[in-house]
Amino acid sequence: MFKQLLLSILIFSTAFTQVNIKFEKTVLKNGLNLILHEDHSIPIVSVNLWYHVGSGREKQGKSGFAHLFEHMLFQGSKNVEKGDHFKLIQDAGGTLNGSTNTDRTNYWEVLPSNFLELALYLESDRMGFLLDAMTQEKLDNQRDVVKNERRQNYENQPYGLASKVINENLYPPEHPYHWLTIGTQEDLSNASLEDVIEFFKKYYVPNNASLCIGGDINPKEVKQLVEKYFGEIPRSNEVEKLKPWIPELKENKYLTLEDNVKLPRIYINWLSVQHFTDDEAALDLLASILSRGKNSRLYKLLVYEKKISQDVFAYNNSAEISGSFSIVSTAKQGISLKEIEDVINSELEKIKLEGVTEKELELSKNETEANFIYRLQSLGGFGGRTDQLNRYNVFVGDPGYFNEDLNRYKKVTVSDIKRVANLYLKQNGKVVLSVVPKGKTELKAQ
Amino acid sequence: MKYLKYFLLLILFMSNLFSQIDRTNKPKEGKTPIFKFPKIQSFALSNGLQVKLVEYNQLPIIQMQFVFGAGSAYDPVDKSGAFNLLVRLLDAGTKSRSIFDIADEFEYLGTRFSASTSHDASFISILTLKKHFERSLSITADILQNSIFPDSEFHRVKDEVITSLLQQKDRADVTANKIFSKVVYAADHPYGKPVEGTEASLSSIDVNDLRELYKKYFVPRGAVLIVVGDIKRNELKKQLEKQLADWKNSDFKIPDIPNVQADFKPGIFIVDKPGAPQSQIRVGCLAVERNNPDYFALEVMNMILGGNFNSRINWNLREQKGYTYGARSGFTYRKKLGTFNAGGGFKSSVTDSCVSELLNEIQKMKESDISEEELKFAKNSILLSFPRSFETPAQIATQLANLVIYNLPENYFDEYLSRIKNISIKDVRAVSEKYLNPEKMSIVVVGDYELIKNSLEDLNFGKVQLLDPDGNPLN
Repeated sequence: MFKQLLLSILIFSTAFTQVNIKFEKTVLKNGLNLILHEDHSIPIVSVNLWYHVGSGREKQGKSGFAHLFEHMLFQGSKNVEKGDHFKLIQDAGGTLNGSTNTDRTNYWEVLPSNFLELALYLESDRMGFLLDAMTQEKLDNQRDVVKNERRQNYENQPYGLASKVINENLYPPEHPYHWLTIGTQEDLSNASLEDVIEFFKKYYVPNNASLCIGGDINPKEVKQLVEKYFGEIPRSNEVEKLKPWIPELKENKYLTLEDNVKLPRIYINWLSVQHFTDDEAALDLLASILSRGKNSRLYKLLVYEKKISQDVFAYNNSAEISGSFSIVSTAKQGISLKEIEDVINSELEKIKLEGVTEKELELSKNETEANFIYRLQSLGGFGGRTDQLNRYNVFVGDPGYFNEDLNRYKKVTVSDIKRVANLYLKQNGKVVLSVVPKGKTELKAQ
Repeated sequence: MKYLKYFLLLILFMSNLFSQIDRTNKPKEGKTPIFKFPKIQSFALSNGLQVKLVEYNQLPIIQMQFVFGAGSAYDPVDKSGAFNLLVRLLDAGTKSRSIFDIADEFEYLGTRFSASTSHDASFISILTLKKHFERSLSITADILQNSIFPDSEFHRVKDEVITSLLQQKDRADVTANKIFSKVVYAADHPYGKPVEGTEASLSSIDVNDLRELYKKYFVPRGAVLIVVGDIKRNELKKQLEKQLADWKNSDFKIPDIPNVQADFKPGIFIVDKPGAPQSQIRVGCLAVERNNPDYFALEVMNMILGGNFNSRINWNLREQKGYTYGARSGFTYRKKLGTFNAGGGFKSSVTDSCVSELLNEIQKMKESDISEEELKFAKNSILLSFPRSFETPAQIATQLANLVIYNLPENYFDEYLSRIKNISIKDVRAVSEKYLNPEKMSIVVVGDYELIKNSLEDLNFGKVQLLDPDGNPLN
């Protein structure tokens, strides 16, 4: 029934940071990837299920589907009444959630180990038999809920729509990273039951999913249970892989958004590179050198010395088919974003010319290494070990990619940092958004 | 042989065909696994510092948490925000290290240092790799004994806090919470004052105030150190004695927080947010202190009312009506009286319906018994989820910190489970009647005043009053 692919043994060495998480990967006949990770330290299990679909699979005019769909998966399936998914898991003392981004949708349960079968039953029922229970009424209700989610987390949040404007300007209208995962109010209103059904049939299939089960488990028994509950769900058409698509920005776009905010904020954005590339690691470390701690370049200049910014964050956000690098800073009262932008630009030019010091890079690497260990503390939930195993499996095909991943960071040199700063953080070819208090456009960057 | 092979294949095929499982019956749980609460080892250092250790060997890391028995409720009169400034400045320089020395050393080690305060307590947390324990402890020891609160850092951080207060006003949810506290507590009680202070209170704080508080409160006898990590008791004790031996006590004795006097302000309090697509609503009142014996019944009751996804409030307002992304209710427990409130963010056009639905659900809980099924669900979800809150070192440390702050015994976790198990429908009804009085609740709404004021007035729930974002009455 199962094809044995890989078996690894837990070794934890502290001398050199080596992260080896014990796991076993198999693939069911229907294509479902199964990863088992045994850990008996407390009597809980984590069931973590990834579908390799996110808003990156959406088409123009149909934005917000992958996420709306995530909501529909909590609305009951053939043998599970609306509301029962939550009820049964919580009645067992468990907890659960789901989330959607551009590239994947994940669902998880963490519960006492003696209730594992319940979670497998629920996950398999909605993978195999969701459409039997799908109704217009449920769709309408969840569409309203998602519209409220959008109001709460975007429209009624200060600076909440900045990411929308940035993505729309970094990416052309046909690019699936052009729109927010939550979609637009208009597209959500237009979503039909047929659209939702079609989406499910295409992407919510065992051969597009990866199931990671971890914690207080007996791997042999769990394999049988997974076969029992998931084995009968038929394989479907292969989902075509998305190709990398990093558009080119040849000029600078300066944009201004007036918002209900007290302080102006600048967002400087460049296109960068896809995840799991070497340059991603170098860009992550550069971001850390720019804004990580009190001694970081931009924090020290803007917040500490000149005191013109309230905060500054630099981050590289690499995803499956493209990526972007951003520097965001909130101005102190009365400070114009132009002033902040000038400081950022001249510091970037300095790094492009002179590079960074060995010490700066070492601090950033040390912090990255420590984080690799700290993030192993939780078994389940977003970012827990089972989520990480699934992430590596879905995107690089190897759940145990921890050390290779860490090595990408270890091998970055100061000359790499200088190189990626020059290559990606171009003087011409960025989107600069100024979010200013209503009526205060004079505070914008340009 | 050949035929046998085909026969076997046929059997296999048929069994696959008929292997469709019966999904109409939900699987039964297996045998309940045994969970033991982590073993707490307690000892004291020669300077009086109490230490509680839980050994944890899954990862080569150590979590330390210093819990100090005083927080912003002890801010000097008219200087609210002092404790918050103090904790933010703890790592801003010592007699021998500059702010950048400290930041660089911690970053080099990959150690995470953070300090925070609540009304009831203050915290210093350090998460370190085992191999860097000694060095991380040595920097921490320096911070505990030799912080100097440099003038320039004080002015910079104070200005940052004042700016962040301004930023908070942009956020409807944060504003709603702050205004709610201000409305339910009497004006002179520290619980009604924000931990971060106000622009006025911050401007009256001098750097010497912080130095004085540091000397008085940040002493070994005023703290408990919780350690969860890959270290043995003897090794820990040796290191702590070595590095904290010179940490001095003060003669100061921490006083009690004043009792909370009821000061009910009826009505609907609105903070205007023109054009807001949602209204943030809080409906609630003063409730109980953490050590109140009604705590257990209240936890069960709230689980049903608004403490989980399937709770009455969320089911009604999200899953039935689609008015919100999430609605909830909950208690805040403190050394002295905490609060109860229900609320969330709701579509602006239905603000009045949401206020009355929240009040209806509260009234229903008070007027009638919960069902057997609800009781079972609530108790199960509390009891069976308990082991999950002892997974990571930080979670274990938080559990222990609560014992410390609220003076609960070390066998409390077992007691907690048995107390919850014993709660009956009657107990839930009794606490509902005692604490949930809709006519004694205050209502706070942060939303579009012009759009919502008339319909809220029509609810006839007392006067609709407009407040500024600091909670002061307008018009």
